[in-house]
Amino acid sequence: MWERGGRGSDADGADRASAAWGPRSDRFRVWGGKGLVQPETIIAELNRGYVCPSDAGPAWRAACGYGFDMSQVEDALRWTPEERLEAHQRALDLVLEIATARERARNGDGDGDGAE
Amino acid sequence: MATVMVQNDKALLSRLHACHVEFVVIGGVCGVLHGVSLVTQDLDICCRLTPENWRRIEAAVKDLHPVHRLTANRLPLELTDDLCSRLDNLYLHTDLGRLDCLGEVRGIGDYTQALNQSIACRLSFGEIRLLDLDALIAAKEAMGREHDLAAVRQLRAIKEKQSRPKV
Repeated sequence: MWERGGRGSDADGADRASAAWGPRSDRFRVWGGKGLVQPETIIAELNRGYVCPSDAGPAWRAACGYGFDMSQVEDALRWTPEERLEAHQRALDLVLEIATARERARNGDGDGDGAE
Repeated sequence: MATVMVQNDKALLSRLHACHVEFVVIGGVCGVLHGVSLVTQDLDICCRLTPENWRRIEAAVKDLHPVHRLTANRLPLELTDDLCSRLDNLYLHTDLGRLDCLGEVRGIGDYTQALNQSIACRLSFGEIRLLDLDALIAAKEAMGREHDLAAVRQLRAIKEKQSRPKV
């Protein structure tokens, strides 16, 4: 799938970048392989972040322009409401865990988590 | 000692549903169910203002150490007939998180009007009602706070995407 010093087209690059995030561990081994050179197209894609689709409407563009990573909304719209609620719960759990840790630090009652 | 913060919206919704509470999900969780990516830290519902419905809410959370979270001494939730007939809102903190029960939604109206502008949403424990996209946009615009208006940007984008014909 990956070749030494490969220079794919944009389409090839996009396919490979998508594949790199897939679950197969051999992709990551190849990705991190010594001496391999990644195509510029993929490096550029990795660096640029979310790109508003060319066919996006004005409201979608406005939300992008406001600074939202609309790929999260795109993902959410592919999910069922239940999956959206569960994804939100995972994000919320992290927010609350951080808030709890902050409060503990402020009160000086750390329980040693990560401090030893 | 710091309190561990918890907010489990699905568990709260499941309890409200199991106790046959008449409610419509509003606020941030409603946005999440529509696809908004912003994190919200409480569950807001609009509910019918009847003594029976307040009693159902009380039953749904009674074993979760519910307290009135905005009162000075965080008074425990202990409804009486007199209180039930005079309540407009309940702002609760429970072992499963915050639950705000409102009799009216700004920009929409009371429970009946919220219900008229709601859609059904099926979750694993059953079906609940939530404000439809247009109503949620109107409610958030009426609230007018910064985070409400930010959510409106996403809601308008979602509405636009859903109203466009799929190719």
